[in-house]
Amino acid sequence: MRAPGRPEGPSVLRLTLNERLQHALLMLSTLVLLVTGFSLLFHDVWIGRWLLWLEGGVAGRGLIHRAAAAVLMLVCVWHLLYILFTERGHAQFMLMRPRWRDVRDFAQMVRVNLGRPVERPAFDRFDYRQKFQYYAFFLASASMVLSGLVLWFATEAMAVMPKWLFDLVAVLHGRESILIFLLLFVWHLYDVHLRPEVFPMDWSWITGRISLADLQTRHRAEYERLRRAGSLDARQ
Amino acid sequence: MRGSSAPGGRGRTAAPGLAAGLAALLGGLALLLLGAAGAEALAKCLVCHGKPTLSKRLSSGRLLSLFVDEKQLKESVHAARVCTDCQSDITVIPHKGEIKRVSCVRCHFKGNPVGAPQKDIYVEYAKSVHGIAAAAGNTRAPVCQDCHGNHNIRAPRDAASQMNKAHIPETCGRCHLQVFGDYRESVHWQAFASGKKDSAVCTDCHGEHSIRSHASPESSTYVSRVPETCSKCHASVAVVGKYGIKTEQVATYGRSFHGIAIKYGEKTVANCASCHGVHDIRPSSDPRSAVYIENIPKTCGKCHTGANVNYAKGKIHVDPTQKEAGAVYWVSLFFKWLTISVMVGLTAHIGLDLFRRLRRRGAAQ
Repeated sequence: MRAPGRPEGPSVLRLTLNERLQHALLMLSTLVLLVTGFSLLFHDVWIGRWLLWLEGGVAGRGLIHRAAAAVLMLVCVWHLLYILFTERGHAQFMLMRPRWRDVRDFAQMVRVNLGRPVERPAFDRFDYRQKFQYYAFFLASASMVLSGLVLWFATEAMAVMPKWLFDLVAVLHGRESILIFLLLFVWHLYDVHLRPEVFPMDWSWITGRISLADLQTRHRAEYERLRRAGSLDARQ
Repeated sequence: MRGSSAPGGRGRTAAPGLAAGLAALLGGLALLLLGAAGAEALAKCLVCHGKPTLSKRLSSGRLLSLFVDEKQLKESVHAARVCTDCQSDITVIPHKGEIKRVSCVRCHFKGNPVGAPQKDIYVEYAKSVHGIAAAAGNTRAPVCQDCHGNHNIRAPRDAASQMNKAHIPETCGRCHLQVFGDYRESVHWQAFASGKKDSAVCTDCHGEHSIRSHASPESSTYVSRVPETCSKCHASVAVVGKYGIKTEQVATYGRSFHGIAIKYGEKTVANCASCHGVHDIRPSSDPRSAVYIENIPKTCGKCHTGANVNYAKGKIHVDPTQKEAGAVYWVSLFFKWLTISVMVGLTAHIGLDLFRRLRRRGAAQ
């Protein structure tokens, strides 16, 4: 019997175990951070009150939030080391770099969606949507970690920054969390769960694999590159 | 008076009219007799107690005046009472034995036949810090007459009553001297004395019969109940609004880390009084105020060790949605529009994606 989510037919490895672990920890820590953060942000409505009760009051909430923040920071450092010092990580990051081609792909995709007689762009390993998500979460994690550290070490921070700047950081941390939540639940959720090609879920974050058929339709440029290099012969 | 109400029975059936008239007549007669007896009894007592110099040396060495001002008594709510109604243990002249303190519950109990006022709130006294101390035998703890007055007792709405709002501070201050001194310096007393009768006196924060130690979780001045107590007036446009005092301070505190933490049971977090002071609250423009700009580092430093001048750079009660919040307002506004525009863009993109699929499905059919 086929394992759940395992692609039908021949497939290739898309995400290594290392990458899948990074993603899983990022996902877990972000979810916990959002839940514990929102219980503070929405403390005056029933959902916040209920969450705060679950988390053991404001002190318990703070503890869980900081523990999850520590995991997020660990993933961030891990990821930076991964793209800086491993061959695979570095190669992946190079493929993730924004190119002019992404802008052209985007424009072409809009024309395709509008029904113009143009061909679907041949995406490489990461299409413009995936790059947008990567950089959005890259920036979001960096600013949330930095602003979060200011709030975590409030006394130390206030020794060097005026109160208005501290307030600004606190407001930024809260307002940005809403943006992150919406990015995740409107965009990322659609992209990896609700899109008809992948519904109910794109399993590659667990299995690490993508079927050759999907690779050919969704990442045609990468498929052609791998085919020419003869890497697809090692199919499983 | 009672007698003249007898014709009120007219127009009703004869029997109840007659009964009412008879009852009123009897009542009037009784009052007349009692009144005469009362006048006689009072005159008897005033033979000695009408002398302003009559006094007694207590075992503590204090000189206790035993003078009773007849005029004062006649103007009080107890004008129709006689001395022994309250001093019930006095039966002979000269008095014998120890004369006990007057107990007001002799008349002021629920369902009493003489019509003495009795409210449920009086029962609260037994659970109050004063009542508990008095019951435990502390002779310095106040009982009813210590606050309400004895021979001069009047209804609290009467301007001359020592329980009238205008006289509350000095009445409480007779025992709470230090606090009275501090309070007289406060913006609350300054405002009250200048005719702003909404301003807080002792009982507005501490309560009346139910007054409790600030250490009791049931007290209106307990650490986590202070914001609720202050907000009774300071969140109300109807109360403080007319004096130009902003009511938003309550809401901004509620949204701050301090406000949220205190609401969820943290005890070591700042409430209103932690920063603004307690009895000697002064306006922030007063250099002696704890929230005067130059005193802010010291005030914050009570909890935040090492607080420096940075704590005074920026508003304390910040509302990010108001322009006066400065940079905080602009960051908040920026994120609002960033979030809206990103969401519009992304949902439009999703919409386009779904539009293509629907069209394709339509074409395939």
